[in-house]
Amino acid sequence: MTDKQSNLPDDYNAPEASKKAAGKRKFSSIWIVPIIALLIGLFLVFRLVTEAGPTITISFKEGTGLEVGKTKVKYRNIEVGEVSSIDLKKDLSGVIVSVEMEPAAKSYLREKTRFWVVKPSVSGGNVTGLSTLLSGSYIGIEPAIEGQPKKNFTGLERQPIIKSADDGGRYKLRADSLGSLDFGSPVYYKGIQVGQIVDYVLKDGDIIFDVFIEKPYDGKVNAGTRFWNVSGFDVTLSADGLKINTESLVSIISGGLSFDTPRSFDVDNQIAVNADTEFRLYATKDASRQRQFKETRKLLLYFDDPVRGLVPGATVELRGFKIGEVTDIRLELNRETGEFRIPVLIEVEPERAFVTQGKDFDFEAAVQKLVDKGLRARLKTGNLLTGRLFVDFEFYPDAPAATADFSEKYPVLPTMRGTLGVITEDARILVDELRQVGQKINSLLDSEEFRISMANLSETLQNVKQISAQLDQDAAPKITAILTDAEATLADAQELFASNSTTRTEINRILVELAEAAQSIRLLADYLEQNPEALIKGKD
Amino acid sequence: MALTAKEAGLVGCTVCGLLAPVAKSEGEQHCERCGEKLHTRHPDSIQRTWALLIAAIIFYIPANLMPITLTTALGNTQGDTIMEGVIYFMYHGEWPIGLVIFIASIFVPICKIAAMIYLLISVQRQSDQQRLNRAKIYRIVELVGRWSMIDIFVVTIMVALVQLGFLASVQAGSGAIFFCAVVIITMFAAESFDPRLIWDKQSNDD
Repeated sequence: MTDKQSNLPDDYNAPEASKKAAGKRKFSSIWIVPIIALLIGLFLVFRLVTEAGPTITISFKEGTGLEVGKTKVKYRNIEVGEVSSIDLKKDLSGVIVSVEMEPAAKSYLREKTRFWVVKPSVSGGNVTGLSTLLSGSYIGIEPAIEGQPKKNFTGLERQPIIKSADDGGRYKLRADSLGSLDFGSPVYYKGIQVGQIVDYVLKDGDIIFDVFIEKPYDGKVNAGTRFWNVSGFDVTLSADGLKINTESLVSIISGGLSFDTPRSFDVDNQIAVNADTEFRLYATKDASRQRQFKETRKLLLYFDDPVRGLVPGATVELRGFKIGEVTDIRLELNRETGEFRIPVLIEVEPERAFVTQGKDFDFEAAVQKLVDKGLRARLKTGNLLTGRLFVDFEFYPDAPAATADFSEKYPVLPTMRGTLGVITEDARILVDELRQVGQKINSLLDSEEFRISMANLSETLQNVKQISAQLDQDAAPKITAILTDAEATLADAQELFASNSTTRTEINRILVELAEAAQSIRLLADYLEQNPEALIKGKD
Repeated sequence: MALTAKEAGLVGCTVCGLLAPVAKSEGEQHCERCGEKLHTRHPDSIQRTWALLIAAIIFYIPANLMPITLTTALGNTQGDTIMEGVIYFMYHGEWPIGLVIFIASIFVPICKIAAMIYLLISVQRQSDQQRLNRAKIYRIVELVGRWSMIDIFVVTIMVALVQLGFLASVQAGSGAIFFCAVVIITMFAAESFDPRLIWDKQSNDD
């Protein structure tokens, strides 16, 4: 190295001079080395600055599995960032994870971007994050293009099921309870798994499910589509026997949904739905098959019959069609009269009955018209074994006139005694009448007339007996004589027709000759018929 | 103290040790015996040493900030800087190994650079303090220089040995290159420094 310097033009004429020159006067070409070093350093810094993506913070509740410099942020299994620091929140309520993202990440770090820690988890029918068992946890990201840019995020506590809108459709389902459904529970269409439950929230006392259905099956969802729960199995014991319905083994354990569009009168089937459409989640397939009605009307019925066996939820039928159900039953005491009456609140779906109703549909007028025609509510026994009652609307044109009362909070419809009540009543009347008859018979038996007539009757009978005795004494010998004569006559007659009597032989001969004569006459007649001229000409 | 060759108007051959009177200008005289170019002092010694030292300092920054190894274990790649490696070993109770790495890779290079700066500044200020100690320091620096490569040596062995595919593999990180550069450049810096400069002013001060 040192030798190189000798080729340079130098002014090292004297040792004294050379020392000073080495320190100050001349710049050696060796300075290229630090300049190159500097350039490389600057290049590194430049690259660091330009290639450094945005640094973001994500807050999590727990820092489980997160390590500085090791934990990556991955999207579709590609690294897009790395954890650069993990700190506790100031109020110790969680951890704040700083992440250095890739430069390109800037475009998708928006308000709606979501982060979560991917850990191995086994839930329901799903095993997820298995690869993290070996490689350690990583932070998952769901990029979002829309929204305002953002730097500080709140991490999700569990992994959402990411499905982009291109892959299918999202739908909302409303259900009474969560049941055995969970995140990731499968959604079936005719037994094929076509989607998953992506999310659920509690809203207004109902569970709102967010359901994702993959292409092309999302096209099967329309306004007429029904969703029902296929968790576990559905055992129905009916007149047809035992019926067990289940969708799949997984759904028995982890729950699931199924959907289909029933063929019905409704024209909903052609109506497309958007993401905001809320479907009902039915408990069973059969429940889902019942028509869906948006409008319900509450009506009040006052029954005089005992309502044992009538429970909220009991059906309300009109000519055998379910039109609603009982929602509440109470017992009311009228303090003034001291009488009980039982108001039964029912909820009917008028759309079931009034199919072609318009917007200016007058429910009250329609009901009044029906009541005028004899519409009455009765309690009927639905099941003889359980004694369950249901409310039955039927037309009784002969029923006493009544009106629907719309003045109260709920319209009050007239009722009639139910079948059971009527039978009881009829039976009571019958028994009363029978008793009266019995009493009358008793009084009759006890009466004087009856005794006299009985005495008369026995006298009459006595007389009859006497008459018959006289007949025995007087008429019998004569009758015997007559019979003897008759017997003799018959014996004569018998003798006359006996097989060996002459009379009979004679008669037989006469009969034979008569037959022969008849034969001849027939022959003659035949001949004459064929040859009528024989009468004149004579036989040839 | 003794007279230096330079003060006596002589120049020594660094190869065969033959002394010759200074006859020509610096860099043009050759050893009569072995033909080596003769210099009373290394030309541009201080300037060159400074230049190389600055380059070494610049390279030392990325050498420590960038990962020296890229370890892939079970599909998870992780870059480790020297200091992370040291901390890793210390943290896991392997403090002797950690200590060796720390001394060889962090302590020694820093000491070497610091020592060189000290030597350069003291020579430039024509200080006459601690000359003997400074000479000792220079000797140690020169001796120890190559041993800093032990780190690079370990990395190369690791890279060669640990290639188990998906299970585990080690790759040299960009930090290794810079570290290598630091070691080499400091060695050159030590080489270009002319220890005779330490003694130069002594006679004047006497």
